[in-house]
Amino acid sequence: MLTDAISSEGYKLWRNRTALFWGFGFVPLLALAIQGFTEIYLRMQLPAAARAMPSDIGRTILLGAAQASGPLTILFILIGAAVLFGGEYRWETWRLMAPRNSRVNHVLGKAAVFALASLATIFAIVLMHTIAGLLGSFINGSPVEWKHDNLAIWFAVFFSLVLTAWLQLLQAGFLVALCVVLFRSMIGAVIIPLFVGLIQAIGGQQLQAADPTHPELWRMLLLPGMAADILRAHVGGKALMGMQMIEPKTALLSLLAQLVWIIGALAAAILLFRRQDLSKE
Amino acid sequence: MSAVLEADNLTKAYGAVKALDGLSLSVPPGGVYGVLGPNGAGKSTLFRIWLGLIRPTEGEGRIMGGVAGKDAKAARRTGSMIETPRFPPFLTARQTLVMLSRASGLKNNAARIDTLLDRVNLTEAADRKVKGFSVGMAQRLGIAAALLNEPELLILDEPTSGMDPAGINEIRNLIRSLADDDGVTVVLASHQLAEVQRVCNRVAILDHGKLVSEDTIDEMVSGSTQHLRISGSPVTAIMKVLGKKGTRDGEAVLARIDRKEAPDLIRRLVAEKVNITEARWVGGDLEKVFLQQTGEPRAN
Repeated sequence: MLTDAISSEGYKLWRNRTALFWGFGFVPLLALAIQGFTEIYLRMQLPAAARAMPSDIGRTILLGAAQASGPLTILFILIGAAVLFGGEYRWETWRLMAPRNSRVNHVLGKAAVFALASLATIFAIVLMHTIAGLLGSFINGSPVEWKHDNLAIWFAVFFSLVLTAWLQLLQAGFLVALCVVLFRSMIGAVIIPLFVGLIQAIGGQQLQAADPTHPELWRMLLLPGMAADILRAHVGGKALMGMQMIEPKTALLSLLAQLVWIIGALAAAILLFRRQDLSKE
Repeated sequence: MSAVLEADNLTKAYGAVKALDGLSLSVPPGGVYGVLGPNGAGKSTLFRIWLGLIRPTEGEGRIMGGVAGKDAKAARRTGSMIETPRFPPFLTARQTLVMLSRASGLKNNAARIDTLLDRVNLTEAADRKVKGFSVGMAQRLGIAAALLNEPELLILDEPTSGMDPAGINEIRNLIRSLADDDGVTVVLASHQLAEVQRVCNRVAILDHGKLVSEDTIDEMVSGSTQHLRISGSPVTAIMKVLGKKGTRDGEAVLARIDRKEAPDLIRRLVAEKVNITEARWVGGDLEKVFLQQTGEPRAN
């Protein structure tokens, strides 16, 4: 059963403290350090009047969610995903695991654990962001305010930003899953998505739409990172930037582009693994 | 009950190399069944097909009546250890069994895990990380892992590889006990032919991916030819007495004679002034049969 595979994979990841720390726990600590530096030290450099300006904690939390799937998060999530999806190849343990459940369940179990771990990472990043914000306010003597009267709207924006970040991490993680199965190598599984990211960064300029707020679907399919940015700009635009630049239709297309990557990569990994000979992991 | 394991015209090709070449085999329920063969004979490939780890190029493998690799229920009634077992290095022996229990859908298995650790003599090392285990300890843990789900069928590939003589003896007794007391059908591959002869009821000998022989141990061994191996000098005189019945075997000579001819042969050699230092019967064991069937100097 799938629940058995999830339980087993979760137990294994929880005991693999090195992978757990570097793959999913390090970035929140890094977020605390970077945000703490920004909120405490850099803010100290401002004039006293500016330092004492009230800070909107609601906005700080939203910013944490908006920044939770940045390049550093993705880089370390790639490591976590490579260990999670590639461990059986590295330790030659498929011969031990495979007969105990169906192959589809094995991959889905890993995918579910990755999804939960990456979601936990996002929430941890938001938490650290918030703690850094509160510390900054406390040290600089600025009052903390809550400027969001409509809580329902604030929560809707917050969870939409979390979901957007989560989709971006799932996209990276499931691409790793596909690479792991394809190359049977954890290193390859990290290098290839990094290479894809590099190609996107370079190709992003070449493939930039004439109107960057209305890119076509094919551009977002080719550049899933851009699709994630578009979706994020749509869900957090008004709350964070005070204006909505992305139309709902474009946002939907960007969501579609991301789902194609997520579902496509995972489905391809499952199909490949179902037929894969485990003669030598 | 029908066969617990079947191979129906199984072929597995890796490019031009055929690891299995039209192999058909049927393993009956009960007892200990040995699969022998030299390196590259196809033993591990056969086991991996039965366990659904690899797919045959042609033919079909069946396990407990279901198609190998497609019948999850049959797979869950089976325990296995393929080649030297590997484990996630960051887990202890106990954690490894907990993790595998979860993967197998076994709940509240702590008592059974303790029993199994004790049965394979790993209680003291239960909370040590697996990465520090010797090959023999890993083998023991592999056997415990294979027994987690109280299997009806146990497939073991080289279960005593890397073990010391005392460990081999323990595992031999465990395997016999599983077959005799627990009613588990055990299928094992081993290159320790003397061990196989002691522990197995039936054996199949594979060579170049084909079945060359299959029978009970008693039947197989009774059909093997015994030779009188004579060490002495001069060897030329021994060869002259034996004629076509003699074959050089290093510094000695193998005499293809019946037991009743031996006294007369010894008298004739003494008469020819041959200094006999040793004369002993060789063969009549599984190793001899194996060598006759495969032409290999030793099983691997």
